[in-house]
Amino acid sequence: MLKKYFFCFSAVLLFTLGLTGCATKNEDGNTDSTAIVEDPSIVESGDSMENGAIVVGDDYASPNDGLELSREQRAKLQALKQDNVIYFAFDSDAIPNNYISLLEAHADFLRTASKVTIIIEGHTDERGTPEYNIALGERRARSVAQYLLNLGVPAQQISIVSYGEEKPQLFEHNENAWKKNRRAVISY
Amino acid sequence: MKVWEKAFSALVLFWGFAGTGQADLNLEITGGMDIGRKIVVVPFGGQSAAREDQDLAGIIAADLTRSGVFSPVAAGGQKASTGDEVRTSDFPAGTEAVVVGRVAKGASGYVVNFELVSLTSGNPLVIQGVKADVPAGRLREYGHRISDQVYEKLTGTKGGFGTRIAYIKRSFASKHPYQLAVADYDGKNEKVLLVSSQPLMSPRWRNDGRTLAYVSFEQRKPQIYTLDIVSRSRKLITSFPGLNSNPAWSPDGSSLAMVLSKDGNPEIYVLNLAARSLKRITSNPGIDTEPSWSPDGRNLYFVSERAGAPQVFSVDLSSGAVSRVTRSPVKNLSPVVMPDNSGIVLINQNGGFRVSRQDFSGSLYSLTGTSLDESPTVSPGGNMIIYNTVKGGRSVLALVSANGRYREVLRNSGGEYYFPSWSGYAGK
Repeated sequence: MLKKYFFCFSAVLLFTLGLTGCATKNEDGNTDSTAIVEDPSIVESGDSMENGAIVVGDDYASPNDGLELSREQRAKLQALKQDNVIYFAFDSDAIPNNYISLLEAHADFLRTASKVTIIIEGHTDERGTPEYNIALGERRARSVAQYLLNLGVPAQQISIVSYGEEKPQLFEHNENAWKKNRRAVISY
Repeated sequence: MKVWEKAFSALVLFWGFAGTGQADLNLEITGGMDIGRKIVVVPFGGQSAAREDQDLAGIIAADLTRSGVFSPVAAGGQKASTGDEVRTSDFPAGTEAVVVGRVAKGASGYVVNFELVSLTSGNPLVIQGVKADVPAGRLREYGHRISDQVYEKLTGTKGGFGTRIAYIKRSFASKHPYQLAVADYDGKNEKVLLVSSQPLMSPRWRNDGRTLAYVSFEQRKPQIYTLDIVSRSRKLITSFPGLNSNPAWSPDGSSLAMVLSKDGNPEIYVLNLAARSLKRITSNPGIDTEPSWSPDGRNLYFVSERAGAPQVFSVDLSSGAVSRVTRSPVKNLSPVVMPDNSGIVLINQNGGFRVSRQDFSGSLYSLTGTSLDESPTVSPGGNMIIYNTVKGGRSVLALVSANGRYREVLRNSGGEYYFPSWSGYAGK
């Protein structure tokens, strides 16, 4: 089950970084021949209910649970998990200079621990609209992914996901919260 | 109405002199600029012991107020409960019509009578009278139905007060903070349909009034699902690499416009659900997002960065021709086409992010004075807009009449509210 998602995440990255070729179409509305759309899967059995509402979504499991790592690698991983957030300026996906050493530390580790995978989460503050922000969040995640690729981290260890403004770090609606919410998180 | 029209002719004149074809002017209508048509809704007879949420006169007056068309006047101790008892001299000068009625216990609930009395010709004239058996527990719903009849009789257009909204509620104190809920359009009778520990986004009603499309992150990535709210069954619709977001039903309910980034960056696609065919609509290196259908289903309005800051464009789905819709230099987002195709409602960055209107005749104007407005959705009759905004430190659901005269916060407790979506007339 989990493996399937890993494939998708890697695919996300490959697509978003333009590493695989995909026919692009002009705005003439041609049917997209690259798209294979399966029948929708019906997910009705097994849905649990609570007070009349369907309950979905567990806490995410880490893709690296159960990996065999040396004691030294394990300690390094624990340390990196504590220092894994890049904060961005308003409306920007440029990585501020003060995060370069943070990113180098993650890249050094990922190059040596080739089985470890990361999911880079892109987030925005709440200003603007949520649909536009989820697109901006993807740009931030991609920006961090590109930086790590440039530092020699193999693409198959990296995937990205944008949450837009949906998972704020701080819940208040003010400048201070917005500053903390414009971020990318390197999640192990 | 007069002052409003005057303001508009002044605006048109101004642009005539300015000689620009496309207006960049932002005009905020502050509410109370003019009063609406005067109407009195007399408290219904037989209701003295009724619960507050069954106060039919209160429900009807609130509905009519929200349209921005009427300004209900307090009944001032009026006791009339039938048309015969209405005397023109008992009501304030300028009162156009009076709604009277009474509630009695019936075999399986209530018997409700109401009459709409016109005062415009001097002598009171009953222009509508309806008697109905109303099952217990459905008095509130019937109140909205009376509002619809009164509104349609007096304006010639549908009111839409019996419709519903869907929205996402966030309650971070809860184990499942993200909740998909539906309620009556006025925020009452909330029903939570689906809860998740991970984000839910963008519920949108299909024209059948029973299917919602929405986005869920339950598998650690955004995917588009549909939910049948009657059978409570759901279907996974798309799960492409990258974004699967912003589903928007075509007016005929056959297709979903959506945003996918599988080909490198966010682009707009249309998925025909029966044929399972996917058509790519946009193609350019910037973000293309927020698709919204024209009422005839022939055009998609959307937001694009192709000209720099995000602006609204439209694309003709048969020819592929793209035209730019907004031209103000700030960000313009979240277009929704008015049901009569007279213009779009959108979020315009003017000081803050505000619900605004751009008429196709040219003018752009703000409808609110708040700064964090999002996700405007328009009633099927085009007379009201619901959106979310921040008030008192929380994100709330708010309503503004489409003419900007009236604003109200609908839901502000029990969590924070996002992504309102208005059903069509089949919504109830």
